[in-house]
Amino acid sequence: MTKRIALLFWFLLLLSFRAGAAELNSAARDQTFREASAAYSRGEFAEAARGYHRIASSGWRAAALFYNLGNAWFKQGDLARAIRNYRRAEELSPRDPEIAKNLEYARGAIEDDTSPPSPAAWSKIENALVRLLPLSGWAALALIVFWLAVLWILAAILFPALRPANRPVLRILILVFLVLALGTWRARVRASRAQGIILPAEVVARYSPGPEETEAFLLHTGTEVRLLRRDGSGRWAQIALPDGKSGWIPVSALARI
Amino acid sequence: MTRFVRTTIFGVALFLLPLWTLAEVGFRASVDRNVVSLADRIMLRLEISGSRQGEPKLPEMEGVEILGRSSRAEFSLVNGATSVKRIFSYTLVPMRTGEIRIPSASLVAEGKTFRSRPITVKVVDVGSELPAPPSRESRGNSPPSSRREKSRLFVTASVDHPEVFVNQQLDLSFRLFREPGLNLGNLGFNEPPVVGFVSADNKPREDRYGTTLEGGRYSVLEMKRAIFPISPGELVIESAEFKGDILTRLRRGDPFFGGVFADPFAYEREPFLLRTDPVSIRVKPLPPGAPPDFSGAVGVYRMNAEVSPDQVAVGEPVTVTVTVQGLGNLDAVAMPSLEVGEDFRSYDPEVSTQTRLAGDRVGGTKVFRQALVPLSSGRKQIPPVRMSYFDPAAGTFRQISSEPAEIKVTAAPSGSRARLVEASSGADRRKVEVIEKDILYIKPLPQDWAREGKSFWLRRSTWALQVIPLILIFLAWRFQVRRERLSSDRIYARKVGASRSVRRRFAAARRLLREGKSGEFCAEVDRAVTRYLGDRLGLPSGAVDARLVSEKLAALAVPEGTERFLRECFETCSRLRFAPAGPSREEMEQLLELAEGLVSRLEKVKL
Repeated sequence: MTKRIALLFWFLLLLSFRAGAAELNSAARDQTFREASAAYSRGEFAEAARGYHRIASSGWRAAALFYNLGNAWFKQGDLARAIRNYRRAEELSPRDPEIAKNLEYARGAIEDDTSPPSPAAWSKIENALVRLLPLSGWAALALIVFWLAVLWILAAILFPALRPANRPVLRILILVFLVLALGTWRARVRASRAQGIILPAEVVARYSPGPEETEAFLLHTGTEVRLLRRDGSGRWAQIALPDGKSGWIPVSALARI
Repeated sequence: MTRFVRTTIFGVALFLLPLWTLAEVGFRASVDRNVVSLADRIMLRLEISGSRQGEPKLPEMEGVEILGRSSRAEFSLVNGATSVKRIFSYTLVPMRTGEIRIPSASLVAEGKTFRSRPITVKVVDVGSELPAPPSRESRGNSPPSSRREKSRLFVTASVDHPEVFVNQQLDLSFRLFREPGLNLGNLGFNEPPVVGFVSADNKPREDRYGTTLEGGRYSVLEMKRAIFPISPGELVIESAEFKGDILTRLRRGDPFFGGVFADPFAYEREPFLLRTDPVSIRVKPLPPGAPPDFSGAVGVYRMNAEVSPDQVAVGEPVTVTVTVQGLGNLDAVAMPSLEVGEDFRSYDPEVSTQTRLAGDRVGGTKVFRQALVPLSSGRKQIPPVRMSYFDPAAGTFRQISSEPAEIKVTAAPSGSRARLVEASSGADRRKVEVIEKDILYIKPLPQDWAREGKSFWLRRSTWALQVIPLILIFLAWRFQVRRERLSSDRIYARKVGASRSVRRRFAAARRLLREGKSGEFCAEVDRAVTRYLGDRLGLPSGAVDARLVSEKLAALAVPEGTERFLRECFETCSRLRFAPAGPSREEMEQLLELAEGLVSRLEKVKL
């Protein structure tokens, strides 16, 4: 009986620790953030990274959080994790100049140049437009304009005096909604592309999954890749580079962005 | 018959040709000369006779490099006998002095291996005495300049002055001489690096002309460049290279191939590579005693200076334009000295240079535009502009100067002081330069926290709920359509309002019943029924009677017993309304029941 009680006690204690690790209320979150920032200021970058990571792993998201976490990893020389967190920050705040600057600087430090020869003009324009807002921003604006259009239609039905202006107003609202819906769709397509980053200092990409297969090319830490699929065993992933090269690398060499 | 015999013999002869040649295969190697200089090349000739099979193979050769290879075939038909000769020519460039051995070449033909005899060639230094080459084989060689009168193709390198001063122009020429009848193709020129000199030209100038030399007529290709030595001492210009092909028109004596089918543009190409001798130049330092304003200009120059405008206000700039023209290296001409003292603030001059050629001499114009800002009013003297240069022809320094100029400076208008200050601070400004790069600092505590997971706007349920506004629009549209019909269609409005109206009247009748007002009760029930029937059937209320309603209802599928209810209702109502003693309570209740029964039956019918 005593043994059972002891087991139950330890189980409850474990549960409480687990709950504490997973859940971080807003006050604790802010306190942890401040402590991590203070550690960063003192040059204790590993301590800072632990603090920021604790907030992120408890389910909180903010562009500044991932940006600071990226900085803490960069200062420890871990380019891969730095770029990974800058990319997360960029997704949440695509027009933040500081995030863009640090991401560009970190990318400049990696060994591999995988940039495509010359992106098409329309691709550049699309990239610039879609990056104006985060995905949720596009979706929110599209829905707000949709509701405005619905309200206008209701008003025009119920109040015949509004009908002369109905057609031009409705055209504008529908046009704006279509543009925003298109932006939402493109931002969603881009966000749904599985992205990864190379973690080890060097990894060999092969033509087929397996350690004995023919070597295709070498990748180095921090290189961003697109994840295409996994093999049957789940231990190898097919990746593609922006310049069109494709190969198989161990899943353990990848971190998903 | 005779013609047939001739054709047959000719065909048999052609058929037997390989058999004849099989018996006469020959393979021979030869060189055009056995003693050459390092600047020459060796023509190795491999001759195959009696076979059209196989190609000769050259072994690895030490001390020479193969520059080019050509081949040709010669056919001859003499007294009915055909002979075939194939000649493979190799151009070899010696890489060292001494004896060079060209080993045996091999040929596999007609099932056998043939070998040529090895050949030894002696290579001597450039300039050494050489035995005269055979006249037939001399083409394409590069004899030293001392023997050039005997060559059909040779090169030279020369300078116009073997001794020059530092920064004095020197014309460097590389010439390719060829006999007018010698055709050349694919000509190329490799210029040596001119170390210790600067050049005014980006690339050598090319000139072609004819000349007579030692009694012989030559066509000359000249590549020349003006150079300026930058330091004193003995300088050497290394060998230049001319290369290309000597084109020889093919001549065939064969009656089959040399006649109609002969290609008039067919040439045999023999590559050649000719190197010039190195050229030594002695560069003398400038003599001592250079004036203080001497900046290194060597040549012949003249100078002109202009000042404009001649009247300005304090703080407004005047421009001194100094134009230096002459022959020499303009890069060595610096801004002539102009000492304006404390009366002016001076700025760095703008410089523009135009280089041109006067014959073979390099020269041009260099213009300096210097801005001066007067700091006080009054008549101001701009002193003469002075410049010194070294005249290499006379071997002395010369000094030239412009005339002094005078300008009138008036008092500054209001605000000009501020402009002066601005100009002064602007001249000292520099772009901020990045010392080192690093990542930017961390961000403060954010306020836009969100929880992990999809945001509200990205949830599928959020987008699915957008169907509801569409349903609202549909309902609003239906409502508005009905409302507009009610206001425009009176009959429809009466039909729609009939049920509610009759219920209200029955309620009023029931109240009258309770109050015992029999007359008013009967009138209310009568009104309720006739109005209801009028509204539902689209009849004026005054025109409603039992007969008309029966006729209307007869055409509709009304429930059974409805007509009885109708008749009884109308009869009872008339009876009770006009009864002298007034109706009893039971009769009134019976009337109300009849009326309500009639209406409830008709409510189920779509009229």
